[in-house]
Amino acid sequence: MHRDDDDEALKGLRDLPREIAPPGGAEVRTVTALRDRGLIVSGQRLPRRRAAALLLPIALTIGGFAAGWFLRPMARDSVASHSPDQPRFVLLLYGRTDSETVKDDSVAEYGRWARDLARNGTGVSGEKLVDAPPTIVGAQLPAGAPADLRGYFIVEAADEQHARMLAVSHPHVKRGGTIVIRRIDPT
Amino acid sequence: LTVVTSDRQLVDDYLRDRSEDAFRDLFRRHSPSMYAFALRLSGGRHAEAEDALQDAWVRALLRLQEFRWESALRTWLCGILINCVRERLRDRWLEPAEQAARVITHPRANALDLEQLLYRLAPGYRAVLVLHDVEGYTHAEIAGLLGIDVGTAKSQLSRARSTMRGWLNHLSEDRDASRRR
Repeated sequence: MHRDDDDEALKGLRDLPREIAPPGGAEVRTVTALRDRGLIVSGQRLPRRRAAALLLPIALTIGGFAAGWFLRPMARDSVASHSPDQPRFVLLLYGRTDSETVKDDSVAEYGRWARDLARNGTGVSGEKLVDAPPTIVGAQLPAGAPADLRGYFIVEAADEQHARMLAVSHPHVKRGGTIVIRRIDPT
Repeated sequence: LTVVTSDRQLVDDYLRDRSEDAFRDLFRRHSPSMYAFALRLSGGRHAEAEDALQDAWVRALLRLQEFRWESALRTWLCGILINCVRERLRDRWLEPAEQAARVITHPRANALDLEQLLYRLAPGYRAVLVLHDVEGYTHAEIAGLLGIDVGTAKSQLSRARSTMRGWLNHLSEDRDASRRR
C-alpha cells in the first residue's frame, strides 16, 4: 500500500483514525453468532504451540529475575511478523534506579502492562537493560543527553498520538521515570 | 512480558480446532480497523457498520480454509467487509446518511469536518477515497477490492477529491463570511 500523490486540501484524510473501537458487546455478539453456527468451539484447550508460547515467558521471567532482567526477547516473533502497514515505535525508559524490592515489583507491573496491551491486540515486545554504566563508542554524548536508559519496549501503534497514549499508561511514568518515544523507520 | 502471535499462527490455531481463543485474538486485532472502515463506507451508520462487521467475520471464518495468504489477512477481510456493507445497505447505498445533515460548526476544517463530508459523498466515490486516501491502498488494490478497473478507480478518486475540495472551499468561505459579520 502506498500513497501516490499529495493533496493539500485533503491531507487531513491521512490523519483520520484508522482504527475505531467497535461498540461494547460487539465481540460477544459476534462470538455468539459464530458459536450458533458451529464456527467456533468454546473451552478448547490451548493449542500446544500457544500453550508453550504462554508458558515460556513465565519460565523465562523467573530466570530473568536471577539475571537482573525483567524482560526477555520472547516477543521477538511479534516484532518480526508485525503487520507491514502498522507503524512501530520504540519507548525508551529513562531514569529511576530502584531498590531490589521495588525493582521486583516493577518487573511484575511492567509485564502486566505489556500483557494487557497484547490482550487488546497491540504488538509489543521489550527488554530491560542491565543496571551498569553504558559503554560509549565514538564521540562523547552531547552535554545533557540522558545516559540512564533502563529498558525499552517496541509497540505497534496507529500513529504518534496512539503511541503517546500507550506510553502515558506505562507504569514507568507513574513511578517517576521518563519515556522517550521514537518512531521506527519502516525501511 | 508478552506473547504476540502472527496472523498466520492464529489462523492455523483457529483452523485446527475452531478455537474461540484464537478467534478472539483475531477479532481484537483486526476489528478496530474493520469497524472504522465499515463506519466510513456506510456513511457513518453505526448499526449497519457493526452488523457488517459481524457478517464479515462469519463469512471470513466460513472461507478461512481457502485463504491462500496471497495478500495480507487484513486486506482479505477488508474485501469481505466491503461486500457485507453493500449488502446491508442495499437500496440505501445511494442515500446520504442522516449524519450528513449535521451542521458543521467548527472554526476550520478538521477531522470531524472531513468525516462528515466523507459521509456526504456518493458511496462509490466514498469507498475509493477512503481506500486510497485514508487506508492507503493502491489503485490496483482498490480495483481488485471493489471489482472495478483501475481507470475507474482513478477517475472516481479524482471526482471524489474534487467534490470534497469544493465542499471544503465552500465551508471555508461560509466561515470567513460569518466572521466578518
